[in-house]
Amino acid sequence: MSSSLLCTTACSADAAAEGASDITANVTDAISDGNPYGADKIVPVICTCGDVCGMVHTANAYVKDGAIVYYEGNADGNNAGHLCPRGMAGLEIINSPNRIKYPMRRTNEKGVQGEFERISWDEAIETVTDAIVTAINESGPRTVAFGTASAHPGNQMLEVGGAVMRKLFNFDTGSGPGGCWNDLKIGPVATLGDMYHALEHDPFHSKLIIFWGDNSAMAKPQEWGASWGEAKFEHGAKIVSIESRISETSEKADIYLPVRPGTDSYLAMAMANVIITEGLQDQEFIDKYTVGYEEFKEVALRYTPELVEQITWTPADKIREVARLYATTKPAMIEIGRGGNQTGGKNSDAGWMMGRAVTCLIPLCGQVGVRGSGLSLETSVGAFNGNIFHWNMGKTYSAPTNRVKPLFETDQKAASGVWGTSKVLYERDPYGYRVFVTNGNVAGSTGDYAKAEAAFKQMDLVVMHNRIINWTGSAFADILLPACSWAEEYVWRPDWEYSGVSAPAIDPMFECRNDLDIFRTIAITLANKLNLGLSDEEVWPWATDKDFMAQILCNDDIKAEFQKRVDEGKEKFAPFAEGDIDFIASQAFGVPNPYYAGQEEFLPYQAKYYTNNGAPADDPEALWFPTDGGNGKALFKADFLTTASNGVLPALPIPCEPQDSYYAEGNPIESGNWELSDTVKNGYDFVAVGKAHQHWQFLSFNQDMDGGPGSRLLREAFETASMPSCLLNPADAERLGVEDGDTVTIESLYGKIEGVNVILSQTVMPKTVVPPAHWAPAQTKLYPYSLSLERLDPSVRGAVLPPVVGPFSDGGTKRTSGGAQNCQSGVLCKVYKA
Amino acid sequence: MTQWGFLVDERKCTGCKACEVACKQRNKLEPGGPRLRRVQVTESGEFPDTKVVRFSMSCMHCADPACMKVCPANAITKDEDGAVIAHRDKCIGCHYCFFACPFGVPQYREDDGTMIKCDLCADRRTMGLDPACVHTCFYGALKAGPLNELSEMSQGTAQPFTSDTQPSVVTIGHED
Ligand code: SF4
Ligand code: SF4
Ligand code: SF4
Repeated sequence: MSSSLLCTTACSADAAAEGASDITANVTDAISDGNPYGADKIVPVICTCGDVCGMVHTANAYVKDGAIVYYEGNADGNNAGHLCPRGMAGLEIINSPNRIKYPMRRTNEKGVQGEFERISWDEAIETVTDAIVTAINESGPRTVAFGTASAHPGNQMLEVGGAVMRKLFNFDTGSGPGGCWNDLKIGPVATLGDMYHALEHDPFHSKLIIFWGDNSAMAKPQEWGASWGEAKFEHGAKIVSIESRISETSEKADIYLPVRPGTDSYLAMAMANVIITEGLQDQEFIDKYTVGYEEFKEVALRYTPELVEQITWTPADKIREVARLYATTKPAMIEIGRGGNQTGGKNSDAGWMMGRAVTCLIPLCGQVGVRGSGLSLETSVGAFNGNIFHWNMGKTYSAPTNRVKPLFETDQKAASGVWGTSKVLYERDPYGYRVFVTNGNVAGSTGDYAKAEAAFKQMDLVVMHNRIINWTGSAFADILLPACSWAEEYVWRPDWEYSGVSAPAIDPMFECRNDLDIFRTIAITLANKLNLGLSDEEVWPWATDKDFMAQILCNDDIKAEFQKRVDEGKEKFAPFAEGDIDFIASQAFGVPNPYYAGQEEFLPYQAKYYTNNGAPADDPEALWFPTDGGNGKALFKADFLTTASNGVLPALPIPCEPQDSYYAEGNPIESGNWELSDTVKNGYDFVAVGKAHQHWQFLSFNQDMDGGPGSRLLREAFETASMPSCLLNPADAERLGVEDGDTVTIESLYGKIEGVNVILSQTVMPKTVVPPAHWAPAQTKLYPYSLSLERLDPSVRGAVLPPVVGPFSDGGTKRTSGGAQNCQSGVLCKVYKA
Repeated sequence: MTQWGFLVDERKCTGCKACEVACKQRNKLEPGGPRLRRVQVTESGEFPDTKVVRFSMSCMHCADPACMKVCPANAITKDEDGAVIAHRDKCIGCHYCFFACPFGVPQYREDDGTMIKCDLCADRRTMGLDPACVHTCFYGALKAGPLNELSEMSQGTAQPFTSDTQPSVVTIGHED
């Protein structure tokens, strides 16, 4: 950690010795003869406030008489005692008056804020399992959706538990929203063969860092504090921020480049244009390590800064400045975030094309192979095996599912996962869902609200198991089941380097049960009702959530693999090979992920690491990119994209408009038609700027029954959290006759949000609007339900990425891509006074 | 007495308001009630040359506190770390301190008719803990300690916050 807090301990201890501070002031409860706050014990708990930043952060729960009396960051965790505002509001969520305390049944109509009455656990489980049995018998098991993958559960065990339920009973996934970052991998993998995330100290070697659609200063507090920010403040790295609004990261940048949402690929090609026309490209690198430069150059030469400025709204002189800077400053790193890939749409490649075009700048300038250069993708996706975590999924994540067998077979088949949400939930094709069991917030975060509402309303039974209710539960649940918070259950939280585990600090509050216990109870009751003649253990082999976790993290396969690394001298963290869950839980910092361990020789900026897959053995210094085709070259022209997609996807990074095109025939440079689209001409002339993150909320997990944030302190702290609000540039507001604090309607082709509070801000680009984010159902109403790669035949969707190669490959399996939910940014809209 | 104070690094603050939330929690203050630490956000200039300044502010724990001088009930004192403490048991809620303070720091507490302000987390200092707001800041933008040490640590980059009352706050990156 960079932020060495000034140690106050010594000074205060002296003060205490001289006579305690006068404490008749406000609060005095930290003072005690024993632990601060008179705690019987101080228990480390992994912060899983639900809106996880993707990293392992540990809090301290000060427990007195079985209750948490104080809560703050744990100084031994890798968060070094700090918590972000959401984490800091964690205790408020745990103690929220709106916790689901008991099983409840709906008493009012669906579609509006819910009203519920208390029922017993027995009655709740009877109701849920009766409905499932009826659905299975009458319509088949896949009409039951067990959608625990929807929204982020924080506690990773939930996803695995849900997967076991689905395997046992052949339930459908019913998940959503679908991997909002999934598209981030397609572009980089096509160009460079893999995706990377900078290790903590890599940026210290960068002279220039370009944050492209990436608001790390806000989205990754620890990373900014200990890595990127430190690169700037302590090591003098120059920062460029390319964003559609002035974000927290843009504020800290030396140079800010505005870009119309969804047009990042044009901007990247304009930079390539400057670099090539001014002869700044690294020709030696290009000749030696790349494929398709001449064709790429031909495209780039069409994208002059002056033409692109008209499209992206980025000043041409600034495009030139940044292009020159990137080509001539070595080493320079590009960090790509979700800002660009959230655009696009069913019929547009604008989302994933962002990463594709931007990563072409890297080989163009030979910014590879040296520490501080290369690519870094937003943390959670930075893993070489194509999954989130650096380990073999078969031996960890899938261990519980591998242990169980389906209890019966079914012929029903339909797309599952994000595709299932679209087909089965929204289109009710081919069967539609009758029972939906989830902790997620599908109706609060997917898009196309009218369809979601209709789908939820026609179900026999909707069940929400959660800590607080969220909009999906509030508007549509028939039954609420009270789930434990992260302080009341075993928690497993992996990030890309460490796995954190914590044991419960307190007993379950009220009548809450941990989610694994809820799954187990439902599974066993169902098996009995279906007369399967199985013992409890045959249905669900784990008695407790702790047993379940041990199956994932401390199974024999993992231990053997870890021990092998230790024996080879590649892993120094030996205790894990012997360890059990109690041991892991005792490590506030977490333990190295099993398959990350011993891989310290892997350096994200060095593509040459992949030496065992065709790289020249006689030239160990040579770079070797694990791209499709196995020739080790970076691909300006990626032919496999075209072949694998049956000709749908372009091999070259040709920019395109988002689904709501600003121009009549899409990309005006390619079409030659600069006429504005009918949508713009019809008055939808504002471009919506989406927000994947904001300080007070990341995903939609800790959402309260009114659709807003669960923490009242966060509502108080941020105006945008206190009511659905939009941000407008003052010049646009004047044109619309709107003032700060007015109420407006924002309307897109897909729906409208009414009653939106206006906040005027010069951080907003003219002609754009930042609509309410993380308010349900507001945001869901503005966007379509849209998945990238939807144009591809389902049979080829999974094949647009090459297999994982190199020593960390698990045998050459294909990476999964499948596209992602997008179009949450770049939608055209109207803003008008109510 | 070594005067304690805060170091506020405006270059590093991102306006996350974790410090605000921590302060409310430490002081057991309900939403809607007093907010002893607040992050002030000011925007200047026009897009795209907008400048956004974020300044996390609570009491300045002045060396010569105006609030203390005017208090008719002697309810405000300085403790051995120089922290300016408003004593809840003596305060009569007359608001004089609020009017005297150049920064309008003391706030009225509806629930018992007294003024409340930051006490530099007196109980936590006694126990050797950082103030709650400082402890939680991920960005290294907020520190507390003896003022001279804070200045030294910044290697001359921190500037004192100026006022007749001699505030015990140094800032980095602050422009008036
Ligand atoms: S916690 Fe730190 S970064 Fe966040 S608002 Fe407070 S001072 Fe600024
Ligand atoms: S800032 Fe105001 S309240 Fe605080 S010590 Fe100075 S005068 Fe008193
Ligand atoms: S020192 Fe304590 S009382 Fe003062 S602002 Fe920080 S948290 Fe609040």
